[in-house]
Amino acid sequence: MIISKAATRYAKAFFDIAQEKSALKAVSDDFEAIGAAIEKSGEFVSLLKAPLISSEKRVAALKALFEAKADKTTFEFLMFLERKGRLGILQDVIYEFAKLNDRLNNVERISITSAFPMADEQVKAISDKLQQKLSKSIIAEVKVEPGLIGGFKVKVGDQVYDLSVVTQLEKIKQSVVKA
Amino acid sequence: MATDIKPEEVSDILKKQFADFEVSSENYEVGTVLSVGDGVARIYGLANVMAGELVEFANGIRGLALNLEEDNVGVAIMGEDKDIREGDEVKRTGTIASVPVGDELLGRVVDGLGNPIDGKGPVSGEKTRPIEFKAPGIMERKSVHEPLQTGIKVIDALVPVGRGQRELIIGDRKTGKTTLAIDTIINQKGKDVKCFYVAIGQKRSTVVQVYETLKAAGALEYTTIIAATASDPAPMQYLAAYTGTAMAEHYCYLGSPTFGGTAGEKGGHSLIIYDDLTKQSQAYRQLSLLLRRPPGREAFPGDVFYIHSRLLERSVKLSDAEGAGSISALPIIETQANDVSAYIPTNVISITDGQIFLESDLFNAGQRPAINAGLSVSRVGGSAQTKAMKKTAGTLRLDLAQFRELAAFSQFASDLDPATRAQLEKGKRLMEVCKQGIGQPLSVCEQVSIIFAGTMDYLKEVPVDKVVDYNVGLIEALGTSHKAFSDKFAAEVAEDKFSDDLKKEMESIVKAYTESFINAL
Repeated sequence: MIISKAATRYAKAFFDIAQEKSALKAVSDDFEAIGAAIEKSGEFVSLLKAPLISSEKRVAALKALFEAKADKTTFEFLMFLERKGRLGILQDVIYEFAKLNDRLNNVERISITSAFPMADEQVKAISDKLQQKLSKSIIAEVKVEPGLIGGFKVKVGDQVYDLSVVTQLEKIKQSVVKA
Repeated sequence: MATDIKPEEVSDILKKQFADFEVSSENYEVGTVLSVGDGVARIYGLANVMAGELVEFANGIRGLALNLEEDNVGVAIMGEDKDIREGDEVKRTGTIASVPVGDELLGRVVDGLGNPIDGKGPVSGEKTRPIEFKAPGIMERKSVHEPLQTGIKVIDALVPVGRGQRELIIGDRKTGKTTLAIDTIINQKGKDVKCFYVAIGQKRSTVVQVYETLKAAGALEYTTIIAATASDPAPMQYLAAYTGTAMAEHYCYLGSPTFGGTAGEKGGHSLIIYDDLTKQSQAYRQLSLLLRRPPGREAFPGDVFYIHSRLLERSVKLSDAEGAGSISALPIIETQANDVSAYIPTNVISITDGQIFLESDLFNAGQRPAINAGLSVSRVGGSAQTKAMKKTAGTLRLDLAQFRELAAFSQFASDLDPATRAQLEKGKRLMEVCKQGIGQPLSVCEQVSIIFAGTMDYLKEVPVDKVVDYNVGLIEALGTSHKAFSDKFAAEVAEDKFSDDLKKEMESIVKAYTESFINAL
């Protein structure tokens, strides 16, 4: 996805302020929840982005949604974005904010794709191994893709460690063709 | 069937291969397609990708990372872009594009990335070279000194090409540019020069024609055709020129310790033809515009000069310490309505060591090859010309120049003095002498004898329209009744000598032949 430059800057500013107000934990939790809401609810996205909704209505809706539930700082951020007419990039801001937070906490997000659902111990074993290798705490996202036939793929940043049966078969094929 | 295949053997071999196969993790770096269209994709991720690196899309199509920007990578897709979707995974291959090289490519037709497209089976790719390679420095070079015989007498006489030279062939469409280049390839037979014909943006039918011509002339066994035709994607057309050069470099650097060859071995000689660089620059313009690089003159990007200068700078004559190999280049440029002052023609003219200028007026007047002797020059080839040719053809350029001037002038004058008339008559015959058919390259001996007859006025009594017949007869005589002389001539040429005895013998042969020819009229 193309992250707008503005999103990076808003995220950085919010992150610094949240740190100053020592509300980092609360804000990042709120943002995570809002992020999940954006992914799930198309209506929420239209509320944020649709140009036809007037500012007052949007503010009212945001108040109803978050004033009570979210942290005060988070709510201020949302209002600020609204005033600047930048609510459309909220998702990007949340994404960038999470990245900054991860960097501060020395966290690496990885994704593990396997052919069949993996047991928790297996995921943990992989995470532990990577934790040692990268000396970072690992948050693993698990996906299932039957196309792999067997085995698994681990993606850390841009780097992929591929131990899937599909790839191994392809390698056997190449070694036979080339021999 | 000669080979006897036993099923148990097959399974044994396969078993052995599987036993050797180890399960290991495959590590690679990926990015995600952000947008795709017009043969160009933008990729998010691929943080460590190198400029010019090959990347692989999910469906196996390859791409070339050209633009490395802050938050995305611009990739030129080498194939159909309609199967690539937003969100697809893109893998790094970790290699700058490289192509197979070596003897197994001779006689083959390959695409812009060195993959065979002639249906004669795969190329093993045991030896490869990167398609981009830095041209050798000053100390590794030597000035051009050996001739590259084109077999076309006007060129060898007036604009001689040396091994390691870059001589541009420039002219309008349908003036015989490709024919000139193909004849030069055909003439390299038995001269231990490997030839590479790079067809860029041409019709497939034209490439087939070239293939058939070379095959019929027995020239295919030392030639590789690199074809990026008009239907191939722009990146392939852009890359084909570099691919061909990489293949030519393999031979040139065989004896060069600095560039990965073996010291003491002799470097090989290659000839590469880029047909044509106009199309290549157009392909590059398309790529650059789609990658949103700022356009300049004629909408070409700022580095359009550099793509040609770095390509042609790779043609080289290596010093003796580096094995004395060479790459000679005959780039071709197509002009529009004889306009040599357009952007790309002026660029390439300034890069090359001279140009052969073909004119449609001459071509249509029946003067073929349609070389304009006044505008064609060779800046370094003079020192590479054979002694025999240098001594014989010395006055040819001057005679032709005087003839052109007089011909223009005499159109208005009805009464001419005898000296002028003689000059005009000689000029007309010299123009006839310069004519040469397609696919009939001549040896040095034949060329020198014919030009000798022309410049020394032996043709005075021969009617202008019989000069071509005279030439044909002379060539035949040199190949049959005067075979011993031809062999002696060839031996002296090999040592770059031109003894007075030989000259006298030539004089007497030409004289005798002229007399018998006139008597037979």
